[in-house]
Amino acid sequence: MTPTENSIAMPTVAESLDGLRRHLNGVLLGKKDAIELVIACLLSHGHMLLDDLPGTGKTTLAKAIAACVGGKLARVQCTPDLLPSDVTGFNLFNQKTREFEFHPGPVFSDVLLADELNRTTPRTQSAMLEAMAERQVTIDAVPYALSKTFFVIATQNPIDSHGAYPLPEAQLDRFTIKLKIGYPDRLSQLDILEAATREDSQAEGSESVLLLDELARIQNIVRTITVHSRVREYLVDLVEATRNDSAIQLGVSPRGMLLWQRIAQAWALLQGRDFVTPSDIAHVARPVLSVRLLTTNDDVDGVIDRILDSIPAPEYR
Amino acid sequence: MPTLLPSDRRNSGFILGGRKQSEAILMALLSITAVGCLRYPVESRALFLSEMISIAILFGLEAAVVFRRRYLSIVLLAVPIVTALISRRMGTPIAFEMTALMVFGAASLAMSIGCNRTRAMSLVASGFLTLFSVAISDSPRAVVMAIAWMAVCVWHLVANHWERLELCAVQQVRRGAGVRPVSVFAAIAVFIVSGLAVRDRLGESKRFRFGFMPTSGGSQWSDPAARSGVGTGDAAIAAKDHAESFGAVESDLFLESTESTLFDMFNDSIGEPKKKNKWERRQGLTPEKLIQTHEQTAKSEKGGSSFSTDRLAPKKHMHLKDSPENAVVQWDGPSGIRLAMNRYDTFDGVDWSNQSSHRNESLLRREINRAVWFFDPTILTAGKEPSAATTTVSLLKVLRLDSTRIPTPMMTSGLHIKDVDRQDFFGIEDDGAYFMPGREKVPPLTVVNVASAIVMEDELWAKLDRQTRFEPLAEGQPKLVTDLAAQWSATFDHPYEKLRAIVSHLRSEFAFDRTGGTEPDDPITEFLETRRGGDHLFATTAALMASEIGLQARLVTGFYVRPSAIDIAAGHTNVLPEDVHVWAEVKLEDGRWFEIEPTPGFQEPSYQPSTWLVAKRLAANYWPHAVGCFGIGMMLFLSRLFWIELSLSVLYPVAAIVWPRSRLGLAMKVLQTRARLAGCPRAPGCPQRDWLLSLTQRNLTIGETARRFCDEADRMTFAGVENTSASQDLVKELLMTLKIKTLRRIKAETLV
Repeated sequence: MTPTENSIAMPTVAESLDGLRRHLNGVLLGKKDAIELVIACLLSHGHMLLDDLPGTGKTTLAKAIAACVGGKLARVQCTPDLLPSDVTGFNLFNQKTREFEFHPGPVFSDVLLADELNRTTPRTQSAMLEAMAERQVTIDAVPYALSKTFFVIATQNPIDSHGAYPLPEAQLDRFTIKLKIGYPDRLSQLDILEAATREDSQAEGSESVLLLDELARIQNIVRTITVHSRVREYLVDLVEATRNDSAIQLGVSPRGMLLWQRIAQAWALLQGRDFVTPSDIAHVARPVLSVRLLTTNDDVDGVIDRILDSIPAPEYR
Repeated sequence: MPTLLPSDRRNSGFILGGRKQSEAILMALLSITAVGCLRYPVESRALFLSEMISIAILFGLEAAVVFRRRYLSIVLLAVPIVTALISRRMGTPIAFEMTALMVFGAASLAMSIGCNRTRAMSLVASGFLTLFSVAISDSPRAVVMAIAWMAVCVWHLVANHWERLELCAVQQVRRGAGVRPVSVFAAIAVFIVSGLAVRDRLGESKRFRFGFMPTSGGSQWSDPAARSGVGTGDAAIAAKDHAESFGAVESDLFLESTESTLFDMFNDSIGEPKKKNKWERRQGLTPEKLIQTHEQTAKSEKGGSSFSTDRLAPKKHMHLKDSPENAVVQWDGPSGIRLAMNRYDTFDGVDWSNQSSHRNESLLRREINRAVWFFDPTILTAGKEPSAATTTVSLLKVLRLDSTRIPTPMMTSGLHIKDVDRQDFFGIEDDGAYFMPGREKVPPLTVVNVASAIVMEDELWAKLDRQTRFEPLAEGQPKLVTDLAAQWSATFDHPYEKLRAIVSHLRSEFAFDRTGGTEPDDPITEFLETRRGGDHLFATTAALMASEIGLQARLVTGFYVRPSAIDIAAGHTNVLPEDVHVWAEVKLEDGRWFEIEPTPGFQEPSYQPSTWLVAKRLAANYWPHAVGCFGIGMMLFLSRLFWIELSLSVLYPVAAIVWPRSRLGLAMKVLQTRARLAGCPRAPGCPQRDWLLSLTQRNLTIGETARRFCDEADRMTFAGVENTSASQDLVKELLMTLKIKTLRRIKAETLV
């Protein structure tokens, strides 16, 4: 897509995105920044890991997203006894037809909410790998394609780590970002209480503002957002810095780098631009890096800060 | 991912960049310079320069061309070796160890470009090389090289490893800009302080004395490139090049002389040399080596009891001038000074004579660094132990001096002859000159170490008494002397100033002419009228005039160490019989005498003013300027914001005209400069957009302008489209609003 086409597409895209933004903000009050990132993640065709306490609106958010795009929402409550087939689906022998029938699992949806992903066994966790990366599942050697806009929102509970299976690095690297929604501020909490008493409080998800096709189209536009060579160099510098830092055991992989560029493009689109600036890269750096950096100490944020500080951002010319 | 190391990317192509790399190269160059300082003075210049140039060319190629780097490095290492081979073939050999050191230097240079590991190796190599070169260097200034290398090294290490140090710290501290310079200064301070602390406390190592390196003139074998040896090297055996060399074997002087040396005289275990007759003496010499004039010893001045100013013109003689064989003494010390032999303090109008009696034959014995010195007690009892800071030690080799007196510079405090610990060998004559009692003359080839005090100009100002007036030297002296002295010194107050005026008048208005042998009745008057005469007349006049202004003066005869007679190769000056000279001395309050040189054509003694005195003089002369400069400086400092703003405001439009496309970038640079001055600089990692927006977020209007500015700048820089043009108004508005003062206020608000 050429820049000209982009600029023609831009106003309509902006309209759709505004609707999405407004709708999500209406559902999850007082979390504008987080919602921006969530949308960026959705547009970048990525997946998201929510690292949060119970009751902060994770499910609400997932449901709202599913509703917005008019897609199907599936929810998996991950427990230790959850089997891979419970996630992907399975073939069942139909006695009447004397044939195997395929019963699709929850991955055959547009938005998948995997709750407390770190509570299930590595076996089940890895069943989601193929689904997340390839957007297809293979059952009994038959590949089944998933939805074009398949979007995984996984959550994990930071407290109460007893009996939890930490997510393997391979799985973590498939998520684009990790977010902490956190508690809303005081004003927002008052709003929440007030909104709960309204009559139409159950109206969430009733209307879809962005059709799946439209979403897929926007995801394609994101791909074509311009990234200047200097900005690319900046991104590579940052990635290399994560690999050479003594405080980091595992730096950013080339896949992580690609995801980073993609979400930065999505972020730029959200800001109404058709090109990526260094501040876009820096802005999404924290959620992108916090999911995939394995540091020697616990202070991931400090390490990320230091890396961002140490690499000079490209300047205006 | 194992493949994409950052260094790989940086090393590709024509890149000599990278801070780490340039620092490593700088250190390697410093180490090569250190070796070069050792080599340059002693080797063939052309070969040395060609070696350096070829190393430079190869290194340049290595830095520029990547694909043959390995081969180029090997060639680089081979350059010193090849040069060494060529130089040996050409007959000007380079010492082995110098070649080895140079290979080290070339390796360090070659390794400085490469990956991190070779850079570390380069660091080690250049460090070793620098410290080793400095350690074997004779010059105390060489330590500057070590300090320079260390400063760069600390700078390099702090920059590379500070972050790691920081991680170890309990609290992470944000890296400040001042860390590196502060560390460098601290390291240099530690270096200097520790150096001063251990100074002179470590004894000299004897371990390296023999055979460690061919340079030392080792006892086993000798390299043709070995320098002048200290032990049993060829040059030491020859013992004719230097004033200090003692054992004369092939020396022409020694072969022809039947005199026993001082060494023979006091060492009883060796008998006196057998006297040879003329023909036997000549056997050792081939006919072409025989110099007829050597058959007779040159006549030198005998110490007389009086000195007449009424003299004939000197005799003409046919000796070759300036040949070392004619030298009376050889002097290894500062040139342009005077060596006194006789002093006369009384003048009767025509003749000078000595009336004082300083005679002393028991000088004070002091042992300094295991050398036995004999000091003038009048100087030591004045409470002044000789110290290295106020004393210079020079060497005097007596060749054919027909006198027991030892020619010494002024304010000589003591003497030392190697291995001679005999108090009865030294004494002071009535007139204050050192002599060797109980013998006919100072034995030829005696090497005397002479310690003389360094006189600062401050002492002359402080110790010339303006109260006590001494009697004039001669009663019936010419009236012209009195008149001229009064006239010349009239405008001055301090006796030293008066003295200087007299000397400078004599030096500038009178002509030195030794040939004019006349026989007038009154040579002084004649001299003052014709303004022409020999140095004895200058000296006498100066002494008379000095006593006219109330100073005690005396006449000194001796030798002048001519600067033109320095034998640079041997490092000493030959003092010839025709260097006989007459000058005057003036007494200080503390009993010491300092000399004045009234004769033009002879160097004046240099009395260095101390730093304090110089500072005082400068302050006295220039204090209004200093006050003015300080005031202007303060005003500039206080109004610096105005000036910086002004220069930025002038520079920006000019630059914007020159580079119209980068107008926004320039404006951003102006803003950043202002912000840095206002104390809220942008961290390099923070994108300019984020920084500017966070800075202006509190003010809605500025914030909006800044946002639009950033949008435009972002579009121009990163959108990859060529057609956009920046709007001038936006930039102007932003630059007019965000002055340094505004930024300061913003910073203060943010802090609150």
